[in-house]
Amino acid sequence: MLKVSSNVLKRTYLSGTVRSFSITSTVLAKKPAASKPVKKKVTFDPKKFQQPQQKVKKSGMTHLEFHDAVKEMNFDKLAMDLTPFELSELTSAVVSNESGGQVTAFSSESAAILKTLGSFKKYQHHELFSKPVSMVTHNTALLNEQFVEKLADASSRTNRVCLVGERGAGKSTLLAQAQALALDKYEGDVILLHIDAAENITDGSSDYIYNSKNKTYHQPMFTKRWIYKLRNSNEAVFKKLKLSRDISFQNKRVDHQLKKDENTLYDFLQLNVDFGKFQPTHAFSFFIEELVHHSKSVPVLLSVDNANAVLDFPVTKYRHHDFTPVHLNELEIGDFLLKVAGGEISFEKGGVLLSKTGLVGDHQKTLSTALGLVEYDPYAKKQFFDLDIANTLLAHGGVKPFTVSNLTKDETRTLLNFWRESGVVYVKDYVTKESLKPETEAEKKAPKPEFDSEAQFENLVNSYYTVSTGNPHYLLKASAISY
Amino acid sequence: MGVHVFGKSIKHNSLVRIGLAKAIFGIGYQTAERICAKVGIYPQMRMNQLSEPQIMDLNKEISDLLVEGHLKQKINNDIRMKRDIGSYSGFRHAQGLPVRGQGTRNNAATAGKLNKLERFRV
Repeated sequence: MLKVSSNVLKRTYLSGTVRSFSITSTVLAKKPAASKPVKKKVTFDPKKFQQPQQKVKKSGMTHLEFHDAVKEMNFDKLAMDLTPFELSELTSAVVSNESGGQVTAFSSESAAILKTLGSFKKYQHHELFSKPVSMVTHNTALLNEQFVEKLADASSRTNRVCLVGERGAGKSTLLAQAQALALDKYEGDVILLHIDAAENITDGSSDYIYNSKNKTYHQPMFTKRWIYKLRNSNEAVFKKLKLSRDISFQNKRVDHQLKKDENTLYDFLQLNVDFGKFQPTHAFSFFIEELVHHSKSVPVLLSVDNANAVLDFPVTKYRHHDFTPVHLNELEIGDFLLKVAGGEISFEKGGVLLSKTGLVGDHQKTLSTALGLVEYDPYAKKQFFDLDIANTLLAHGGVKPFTVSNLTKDETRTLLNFWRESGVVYVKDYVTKESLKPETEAEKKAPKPEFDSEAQFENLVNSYYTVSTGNPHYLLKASAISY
Repeated sequence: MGVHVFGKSIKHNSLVRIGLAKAIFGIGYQTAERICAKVGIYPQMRMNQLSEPQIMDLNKEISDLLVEGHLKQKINNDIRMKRDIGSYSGFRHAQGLPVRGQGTRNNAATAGKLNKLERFRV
């Protein structure tokens, strides 16, 4: 056995030098692989990998589009501080003494509330100033007299106004002013229900579910967001209002039973999450009933911006199961709007303030006809005129139009002067071809005519007023905006 | 990231009605909107917002339609039938020429690509 093994070994040795005659597996077998050295366990030593701290690079870019980015990038922090101007706050007293326009600031309380409600809109260029400002004009005084003063005396059925006017005339600004004036007049004891962009109701951006009991579609996502805004902005008032009847509901598998005259409307809005549930609920109708009940003591102001986006275009993007389009009055919120705007639901103290927008097509005639601005055309096509909605708006005395007119020349001068002082508009000499040429020695020595800033400012006022015809949007565009 | 509907991966951030129309052969924008309305999907909903039951509902609705391979098979069969019965359009299909009376002096390239007896490989 030993002999054999030595032969094999000899053959193995030879196989490396000369060709072997044998092809046995033993001879052809590869050498066993050398045992690998055992790797040491590598541990992470943070000291070795520690790099000198570098400044984190921020791109400064935003995913938003230009106009949205202008609003969202906090340019108001770079604007001039308005404290030295000592702007008076927007109050009823200021409005009643208005003559020739006065630039006012929103009080910090009302500014916070209006910001939550979404009353400051992105195309109003609030980023030009360190805090929201607005100018009290003849329109403000008139609306205050015709609408805001009546909030505590009249029911919302008899106090319905729609702001109309050309694009950029200041309808949304006037809406915000009316809200601020209401807050000032009733010292915060007013419920503000504000929809900042009514088209969000019908544009198909919220989920929807049919409630067979009241035969309307709930929009949980929209309703939840709206209620959240209302709850935060009206917190102080809602905490004062006790519930008029008991209600029980479930939240996160916990049963809540809110008692009449014990719990407040704020408790209900905070604890109840049924507004956002994807199932038919009666939470919204309960909320509205409570508002109607409490409107005896607290005025309710329903304001809807871009109202013509839904009243003129009542066919929504939503579809029934059979693919027929859903009408505005088949949506829970749309139905509520129509009922309040038509006077079917009436707040004992309060008002309805609608506002048109110039950003949607003006060929629809529903709202204009209901306001009496256009004569009723019995042959109008259904796609341009909805008779039911027009009749709804005309019911109970109808909605009154309020034409927002452009600024007068005095108001234009006041506004431009404020813009000049706050660094938005620069008053400088006209640049001509002659003035761009390099000066000769003689010209340098010659006495130069003194630049009259005030005269130049008056020239600018005349020029911008002519260009814009007193329209604030075009005035700002002509004087300050370079895009 | 894709969301899988009817065995197709659809881009997660596309609108449901657009994603269905783009991904599934036999479903256009109109059909996609009809399916969404039937299932109760709101118009601006995106693919990544779909819940599992909604995806199952979509699958069920789509499976009731003639789409994808079955539709392609039907189109192939229709062309084959036209050829088999000896119709003029079947003849033109077989030749790869325009079927609906168009001229052939110029611009018959698309017909050359599409008009075959077996238009789709199933």
